[in-house]
Amino acid sequence: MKWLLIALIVVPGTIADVLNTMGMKRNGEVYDFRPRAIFRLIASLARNPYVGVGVPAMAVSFFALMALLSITNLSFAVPATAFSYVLETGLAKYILKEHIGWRRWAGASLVGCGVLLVSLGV
Amino acid sequence: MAHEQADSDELQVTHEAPARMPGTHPSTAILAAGILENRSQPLRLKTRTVIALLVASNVLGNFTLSRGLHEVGRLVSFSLWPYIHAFVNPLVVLGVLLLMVWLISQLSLLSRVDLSYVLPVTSVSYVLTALMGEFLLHERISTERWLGIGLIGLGVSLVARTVPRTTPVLHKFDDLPYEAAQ
Repeated sequence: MKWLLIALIVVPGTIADVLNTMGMKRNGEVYDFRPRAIFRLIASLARNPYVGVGVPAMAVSFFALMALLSITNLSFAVPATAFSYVLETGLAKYILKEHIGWRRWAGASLVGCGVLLVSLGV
Repeated sequence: MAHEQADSDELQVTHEAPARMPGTHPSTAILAAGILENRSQPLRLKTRTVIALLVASNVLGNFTLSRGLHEVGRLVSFSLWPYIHAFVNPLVVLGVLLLMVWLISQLSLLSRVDLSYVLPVTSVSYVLTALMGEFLLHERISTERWLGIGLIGLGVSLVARTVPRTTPVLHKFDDLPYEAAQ
């Protein structure tokens, strides 16, 4: 059950990150953080198809996380959701066309290994 | 209403706004002040500030949610009712509110910088979460976990040294706030 929930966190979570990035890059850079500007941002994001799929996918991931948090320890639940660093870096390179140099690859790999150690080193 | 007037005011102050940015001060106080005074000046947050807001809301959100859900009890169900019932707990509500702040800051950050920059850099939250587990929830951190925390720190410091954005900006007024750039 724990591992099924982790799959339900990682797969929709990965899809959500990629779609949200595509949607937000098309939305334009967000600089204003006054409450009114944030409401306006939310209203415009409601019409953004990428974010429209990305955020529900994030919600699936989030509810699976809630379920996992209720049956395991915090230190297991949260790091175990983060196997996807290297995968998402690859998707960022090939789908989002981000330029990924050695520092980003090394950084993502180190973070991924670190997360693995944190979650397995119970 | 004076809505149009307010919009044109925003545009005028926008060009001077960077000079008035209050350094790298934490954003929650500024946000709170903005809510109380309802001031019309754009509230511009630096990328570093948004990252700090994101990490703080993520760690505190997960922490309060975890505490709340342990109070609520076992929650593995495909029916919606147990989830709705969990919202009676104030810690769960606070946790969800904090995670909404996290969502907005995550989306704002993704609008400015690369996904492959955001993900590793914001993984600082895993380190803080583990440390909070140790010191506040009294969950033991083993040697392997400390090693993992060290690797995450190293990875984050590597990625933090890269240029945050490598994809083209899709609109031409990237110095203006979002609504003015439309």
